[in-house]
Amino acid sequence: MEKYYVVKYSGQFGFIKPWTAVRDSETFSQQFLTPSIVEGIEKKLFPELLGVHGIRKIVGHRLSYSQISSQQEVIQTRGWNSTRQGKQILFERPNAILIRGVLHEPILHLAFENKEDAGKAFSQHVCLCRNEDILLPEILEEVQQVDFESDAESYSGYELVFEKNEKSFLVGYNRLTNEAMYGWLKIVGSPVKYF
Amino acid sequence: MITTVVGRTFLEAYNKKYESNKSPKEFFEEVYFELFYNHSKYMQWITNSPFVQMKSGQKPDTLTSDERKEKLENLFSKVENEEPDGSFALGFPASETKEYASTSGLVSDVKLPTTSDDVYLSWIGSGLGIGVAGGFSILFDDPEITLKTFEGWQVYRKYLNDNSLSKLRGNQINTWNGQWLTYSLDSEVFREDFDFTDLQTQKIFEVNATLIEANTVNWSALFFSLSQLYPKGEKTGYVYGFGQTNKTIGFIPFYLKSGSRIIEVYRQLFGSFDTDKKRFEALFGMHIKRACELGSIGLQALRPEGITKYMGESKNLSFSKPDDTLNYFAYKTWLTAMLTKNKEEITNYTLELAETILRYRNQGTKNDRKTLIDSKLFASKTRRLFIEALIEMIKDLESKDLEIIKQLKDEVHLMTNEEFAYFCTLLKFDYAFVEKKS
Repeated sequence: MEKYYVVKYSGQFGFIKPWTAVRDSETFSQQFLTPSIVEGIEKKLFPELLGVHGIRKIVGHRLSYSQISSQQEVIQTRGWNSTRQGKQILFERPNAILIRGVLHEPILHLAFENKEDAGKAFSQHVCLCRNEDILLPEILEEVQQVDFESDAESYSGYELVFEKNEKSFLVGYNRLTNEAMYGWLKIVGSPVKYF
Repeated sequence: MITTVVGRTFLEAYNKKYESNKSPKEFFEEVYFELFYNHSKYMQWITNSPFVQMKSGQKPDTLTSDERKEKLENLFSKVENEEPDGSFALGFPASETKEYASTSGLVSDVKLPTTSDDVYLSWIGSGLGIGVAGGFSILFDDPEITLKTFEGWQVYRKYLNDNSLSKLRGNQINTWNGQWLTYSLDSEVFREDFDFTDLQTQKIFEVNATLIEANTVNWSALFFSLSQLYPKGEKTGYVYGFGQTNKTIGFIPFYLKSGSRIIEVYRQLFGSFDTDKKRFEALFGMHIKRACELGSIGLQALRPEGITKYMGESKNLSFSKPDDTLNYFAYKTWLTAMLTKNKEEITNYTLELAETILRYRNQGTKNDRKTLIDSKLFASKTRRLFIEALIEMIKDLESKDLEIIKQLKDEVHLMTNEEFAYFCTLLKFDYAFVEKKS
C-alpha cells in the first residue's frame, strides 16, 4: 500500500483568477488549481526546483472552501495613461470597480510521496495566486493513498486532474512555456462547506 | 479565448456533419455573416464592432447589401492588421494601443499568439452562447450541443425575415439559443413541424402590441432538457456574460444526471408523471449566481426557490392555495432526492411518520399537542431541539407508535446537520399533507 504525506493548509481568503477574465466588472474565483499554479506553489516551497521544469514533488491536491463571497473593490489600470494639455503632459492611472468573488476560508491539502518533502512543506506558508492570501500549515498526516483519493469526509475538495481526455477543458496557458494547459475536474465529497 | 475554443469544436463538428472543409474565415463569410449580418435585422449586436459602426446617416436596418459587404471588409482588414481586441475578437481584452483600458489590470502578461483563425472562431463561439435568466450565458465545449444550437440559428433567421413578424426583435441570438435548446431537446414537447404559434404557446416568444421578443429561459429548464440529451452525463459549462464589460463565473461542472434523477424520484413517489411538466420543472433551481457559488451544478443547485422559507421555521404548506399541491410534489421530490443521494430505494418513510405524529396530535384534547408539533418539533433549527420535542411526545405514547418515535429519535441523532434540515422539512410537508387529507 502506497502512502501519502498530506499537509493541510488553511487561511482566510483565496482568489484564483479564471484565465478568461479580461475585461470584467464581475469575476468569480476559480474553484480549482491549474498546473502552473501547483508548479508555482511547489517552486515556492522548494526553491531548489526553480530551474527545473514541471511538477516534481506534489502528487495530489484538494481545494475546498466555505463559500464564495462577492467583494466590491477598486482596481487600477496596469500602467499610466498620458494626455497632452497644452505644453504639459498629464499622467493618470484610472480606476474601475470590480466585484470579485473570493473564496472564504479556503483549505488546501497537498500530498507528497516523500516524508521529508512534506516536512519541509509543513514548515512554510503558501499563497493562492495573490500573495496576500496566505495559507498556513495546520497538520501533517500520513495516509493511505486510497484514503486520500476517496475519503469524502477528510479530503473533500476540487482537484483538477492534469490530463487530456474527453472530459478535459482548457484551463489556461502555462506562464513559463506558453503551452495550453488542460485538465478535468475531480470532485471529492462536498467541497463547499456552507451555502 | 474561450469563445475560440468552442468555435473550433463546433467548426470541426460542422465540417464533419455537412461533409465540408471550411476554414474559420470561409465559414464566417459564407455562413455566419450571411445568417447574422447580411440582413436588415442583425442577429447579434456587438458594441464597437465594425458591423455596428455606422457612417453618418447610416442605420443598421436601411443598409444596402454593398454597405454591409463593406462592413465585412472592414472586419477582415481589422483581423488581418490589428492586434485582436474585444471590439472585434469576442471575449478578448480591450485594446491597449491608445491607452490602458480601466480593466487592463485583469489581463495577464503572458503573451499568447493569436491567429486570425482564432478571431473568426471567437465570433462563431460567441454566437453559440446559451443565454439564461440572470444575465448570464453558458458555453458548452461539446459538438452535439453546438450543432444543435447552430440548427436554431436558421430558425431564428427565418422568423426575423418573416414579413408577418415585422415586430420581432433582432440581436437576441443568445437568448434565442437558450429557448431553442430547451425546446428542441425536450423530446416530450418538441414537434418536428412546429410553427410560430407553438413557440408562442411554449412562452418562447412574448408577443405584445408593439414588440415580439424572445423570453429568457431559466437555467433549470435548460438543464432538464440537456439531461435528456445526456441522461447519465456530466458536462463542464463556462458561465459568463459579455457586454461593455464582461462577467466571468468560470468553469462549472453540470451534473446532468441530477435532472434525470428528479424525474425518476418523482415517478417512484407519485406514480406516473402526469402533472404539468413545464410548471413542475419551473419550480426548481436557485438563481444562477447562487447555483454557481456551489462550485458545481447538480441536485443541490436545483433546490426549489420557494422551499427556503419553510426550512427551520414553523411555517408550513397550507394546501388552501391551488399551487400548494404542485409545490408539495416538487418540494417532496427534491428533498427525497437529496436524502437518498446514494441509495437506490426511495421509500415513503416520512409519510408513515407523519401519520404517526398526526395520530398523536388527534389523541390529545387540548391544543398543547398541536403547539408542540407546529412550533417546537417542526420549527427546530437543530437536531437537539427536535429530539427534545420528540422526548416530550414519548411520555404520552404507547406500543407501536412509541417504537416508531423512539426509532426516529435514534435516526435523527445519527444524521448530519444538512440531512436533518432536509429530513425535518420533508416530514413537515408530509404532515401537512396527511392532515389535509384526513
